[in-house]
Amino acid sequence: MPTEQLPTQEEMEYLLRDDPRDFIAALHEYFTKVLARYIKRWSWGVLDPHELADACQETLLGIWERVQEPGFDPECPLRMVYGIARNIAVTMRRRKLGRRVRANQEAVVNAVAADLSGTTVGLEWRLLLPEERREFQQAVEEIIACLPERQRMAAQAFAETYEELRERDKYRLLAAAMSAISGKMEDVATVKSAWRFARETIQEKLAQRGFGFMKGKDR
Amino acid sequence: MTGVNGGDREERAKEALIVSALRRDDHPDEQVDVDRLPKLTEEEERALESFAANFIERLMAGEMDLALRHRTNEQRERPDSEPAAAAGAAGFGLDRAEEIDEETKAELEEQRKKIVERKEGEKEADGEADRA
Repeated sequence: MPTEQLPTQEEMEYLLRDDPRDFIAALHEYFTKVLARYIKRWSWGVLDPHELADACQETLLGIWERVQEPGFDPECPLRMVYGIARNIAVTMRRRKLGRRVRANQEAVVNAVAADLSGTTVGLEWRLLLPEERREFQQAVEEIIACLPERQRMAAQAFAETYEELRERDKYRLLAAAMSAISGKMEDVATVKSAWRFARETIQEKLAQRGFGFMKGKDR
Repeated sequence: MTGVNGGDREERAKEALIVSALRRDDHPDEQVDVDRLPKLTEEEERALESFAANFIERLMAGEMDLALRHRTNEQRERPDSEPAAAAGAAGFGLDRAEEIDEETKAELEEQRKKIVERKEGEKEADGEADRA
């Protein structure tokens, strides 16, 4: 369903204030597929169809429980809806990839900051406008989703293990994460190679979309 | 950053930007551009249809599986331990003040000027193209 045909935030808020049962029924009727696609985005497409359906069901159940909590604020309910959907998607993704559910987000932030510090790439990033940054992030997601399967899995495994790779430089973590996605034992050399190809493709495609500073050094 | 040369540092920075795009933890969306969400496969559509049947009726009747309920409570918690304020598109280590030596700072300042000049040139070229 196109965005313009979905109920608006205001309409959903009205329903919620009037009767939470109508709100959840409208969510179910109009937003189930949108939520499934949103969950697919945040779970990076690693969930199988039944896991994806489970995630949707659990999202709706979570929303239903949340709106019944005493003191629940019904303002802007779609923010709460997408927030719950995203948390469930990330949790299920991390489980599927054999990772702890609670990532050490501070370690990720520190690793990113350290990698960007003192680089021209970091400088280019800081000079991007907010909408250009959003476009960049969306482009990365779209490009990875379209990669050949092995490259996509390697990119996902790299992203999920990044902070530990930076800290310990142990690529067996990458192989373990890739094994969790592919369902078979993966060796370090093969996975590193798949990630290298994936990275080159991502960089090349980002450069084609106007982010020239992402072009690979060998290109 | 001992042991990592300039070219490798730039490559690591590119990797960091790729990762931060995927693992960003910004505020939940209020509006979603449906056209840019990944499409569902036929198999996924079928799996959704099978759960969707009678879902609301069962939910209202309080017939949802208890085990599922427990799982949901656990999953609904923030999967990442740090508050969103620590991350976010702007705060994801992407705009952090740099701790660098004077020489690097001077080199970066030079680079910054070049980038700004290049961007201004691009803007002017775009403006001329629009006028043409």
